[in-house]
Amino acid sequence: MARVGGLLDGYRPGPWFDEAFDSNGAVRSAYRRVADRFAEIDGDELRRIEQLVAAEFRRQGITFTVYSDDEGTERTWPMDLFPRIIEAAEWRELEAGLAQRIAALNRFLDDLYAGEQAALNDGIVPRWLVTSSGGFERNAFGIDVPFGARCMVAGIDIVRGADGAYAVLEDNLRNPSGISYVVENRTAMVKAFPRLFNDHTVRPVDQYGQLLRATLTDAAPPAAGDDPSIVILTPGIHNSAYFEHAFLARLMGVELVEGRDLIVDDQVVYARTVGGLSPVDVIYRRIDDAFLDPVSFRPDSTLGVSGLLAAARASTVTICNAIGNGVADDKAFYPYVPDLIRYYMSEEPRLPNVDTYVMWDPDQRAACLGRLDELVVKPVGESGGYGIVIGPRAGEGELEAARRAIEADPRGWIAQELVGLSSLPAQAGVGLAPRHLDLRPFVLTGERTRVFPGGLTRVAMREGSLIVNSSQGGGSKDTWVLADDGPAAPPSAAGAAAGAADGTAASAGLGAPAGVTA
Amino acid sequence: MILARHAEALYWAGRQLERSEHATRALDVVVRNTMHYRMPRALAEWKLLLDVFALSYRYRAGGGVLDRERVADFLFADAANPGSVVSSVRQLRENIRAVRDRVPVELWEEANRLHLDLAATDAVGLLQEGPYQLFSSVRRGCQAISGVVAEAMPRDDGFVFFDSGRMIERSITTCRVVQFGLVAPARDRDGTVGAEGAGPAAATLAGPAAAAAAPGDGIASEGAVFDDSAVEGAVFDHSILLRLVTSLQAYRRMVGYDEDPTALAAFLLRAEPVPRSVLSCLRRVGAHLDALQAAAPGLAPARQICGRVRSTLEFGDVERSLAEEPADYLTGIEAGAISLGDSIARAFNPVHAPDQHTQFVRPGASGPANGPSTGPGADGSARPGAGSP
Repeated sequence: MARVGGLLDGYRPGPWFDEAFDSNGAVRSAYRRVADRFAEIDGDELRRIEQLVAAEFRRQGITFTVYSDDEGTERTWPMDLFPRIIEAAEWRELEAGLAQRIAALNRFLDDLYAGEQAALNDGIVPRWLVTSSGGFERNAFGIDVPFGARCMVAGIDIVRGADGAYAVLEDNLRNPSGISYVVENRTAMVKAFPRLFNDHTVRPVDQYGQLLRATLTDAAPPAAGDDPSIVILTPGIHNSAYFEHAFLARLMGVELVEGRDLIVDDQVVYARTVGGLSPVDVIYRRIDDAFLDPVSFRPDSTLGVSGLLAAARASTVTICNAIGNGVADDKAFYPYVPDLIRYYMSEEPRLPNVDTYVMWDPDQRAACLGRLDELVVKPVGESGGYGIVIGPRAGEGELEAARRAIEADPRGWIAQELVGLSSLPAQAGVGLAPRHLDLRPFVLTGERTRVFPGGLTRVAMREGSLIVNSSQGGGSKDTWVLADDGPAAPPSAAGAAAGAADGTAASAGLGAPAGVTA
Repeated sequence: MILARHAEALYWAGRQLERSEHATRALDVVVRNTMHYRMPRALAEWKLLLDVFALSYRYRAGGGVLDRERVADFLFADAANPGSVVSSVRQLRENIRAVRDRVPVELWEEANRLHLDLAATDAVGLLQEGPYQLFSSVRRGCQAISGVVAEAMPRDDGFVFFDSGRMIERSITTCRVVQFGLVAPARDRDGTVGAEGAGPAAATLAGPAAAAAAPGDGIASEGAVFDDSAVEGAVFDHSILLRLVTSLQAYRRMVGYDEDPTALAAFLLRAEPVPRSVLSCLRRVGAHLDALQAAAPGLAPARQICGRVRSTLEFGDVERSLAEEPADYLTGIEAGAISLGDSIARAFNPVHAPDQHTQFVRPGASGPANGPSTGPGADGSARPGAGSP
């Protein structure tokens, strides 16, 4: 049994699955070197590094906006220093499961909006459930998408239950955000703990821009040629994810535009430049469907572009992600995804769902209403952790309110078995304590589906909390996917000596890119 | 070609950078200088500083008591004054933030750092206790941004607009320094307005004698109700004036100790090697506009204006104009620089543009006219940027 000390002295994982320690309290092999490293430093040192990282994030303006705060303040991105590690074999399983799931969902979406609706005709998903979804969009009919890749960028929320098995908690097929923080977390970790990267072969995350650009380029209308004009459409600097929009534009070297920068003339989208109008071929939009085009959607939207949908329908421009995807990340639709995988892929799902009950079904509803205090109740159309009621943590009044809401609108709610969520050591006061986390990997789809290594690990920063959303006070962790060759050789004597300088954090600059190899 | 909105944000960022740096330097110079003066003379200098930054009107509207500390607060720390250093830095940061995807990362980081540092500082307290470090840190922050721009920013369309904004702001400021720092209304010479029979243009360039004979002695006192008559006609000491535009050393080396105000004014207007001279600024803008000529035909009018103002400096008899009708002449140059800025700004709203610029208030759209100038800078601000509705 590996011995740890220092900050990990007295670390006691609870009855759930801990990523770094087994049930006997021994460090799992993948985490041995990280645990050793954290055992070398004390709370003051950890806090010092933490402050350096936070100051660096603040100076670089790596922020997000919380709307509930007074008038949307920029908050510095919170990162916990203890990394998450996923071993190569484990990742291969996840990767295959994610690719399979997204492929099936894309097949479904394209079949729904541009095909024969086979899954509906064959009764795999009830037609009424699809057409009654808030995300179902009639305007999406007649808009063809290259390769049928309606969801080019997906973010799938993955959790790990008490048995350590991965399961999908949520699909985000519209505008998943977080990839910028994946990249920035890595940059910060390399500065904070350079030596750790010499001890591990961590798959890099800096090629996301290249991958996304290639995916968007492939998606351009044929007439655009080899070098299409790509833009990212942002709601503007006050949006919570503006940092990410600017980050992606910079990474890819494309323009970041707002709705007022674009104009549609004769079904062609143009950007308003100083030199006049310049045609646009691909729009990676980070604006919700409802605000995209005031002609087709909300007429009061000032964020969108009038006539955009007409241009998309005329195939002069590709909109990524396609509109109408919300139908397939409706939480009431989620229970059908495993069947859709079987239906479209002729394969068994590699990643299971969490046990979910649909409230529109009278039997399931009756069973759930009897034990709401054991279940998690979620509204089907929300994201960001809003509106969730966690039965075991809720008061009687809250449960009663949930019960009434379900009875009033059964289609609008689902219930799920409470998943314990796995944990990892995270900074808590003077030491490290177990905190729950999830994982949001990102999946890109063009001509084929590619799963980006790792993803955003979100961590609840309060003891016992299961809410990891950053809008709800959650933090994040750098997520390491180890390359196939396993842990690197033990550090040499020279390496150990260099370690004395390790942890001098930000002053070390971009110290250790050499250790970060694919 | 650069997005019109990005061009606009960069143009104003350039102006705001220039204003932040210039206002800080001017405050530094005047704070140090007025330490040695008796009160009326010191107040005259503060009043002229308000004039140079076209902020007299706004200051007066805010209550009108002329007071050293209040003017310093107003020019540096007043968040409600869009032309203050704090406001300019905030707008600079917001405008760079709006283009952070296309400018060097370090440019955003330095602008962000400058803003955050300043926001975390008790500027009002420091202005009284020991402003020099405060001024020095802001100037260094501005210079760090300049350094990144010089060494890391590609010479693309974005640079063109950033640098043009900066040069236009600089040319207007230099013009106003000469105009308000050197030109004394005629009545201060002979006590009778218009005695030379030329109406409002009856002003002359004031030499050091006028500066020494500080007007309003014994009339203005600290806390007095703002009264132009108390300080009107005061001019800056020439070395102070040159330091305001960081050109003292250059003047000493190139011209020497010539105290002739015409020589000094001509130097600041058209000395080619001096980066703050109006001609140097306009040459840079002209080169930028030439480079964009083919790609952005909408800039043709700006190019014409630039050429016209430039040629009066390059080929006109600057000394004679300064000697004969300095106020008119300088006002004309300044107006030319301002309309050049307006003309460039028109290119930000190209064809098909619905008139929906809510985030970017166009120059001249608001703010009272002040003195001879209208348009940008007229309300004393190097223009509110994104995020300052």
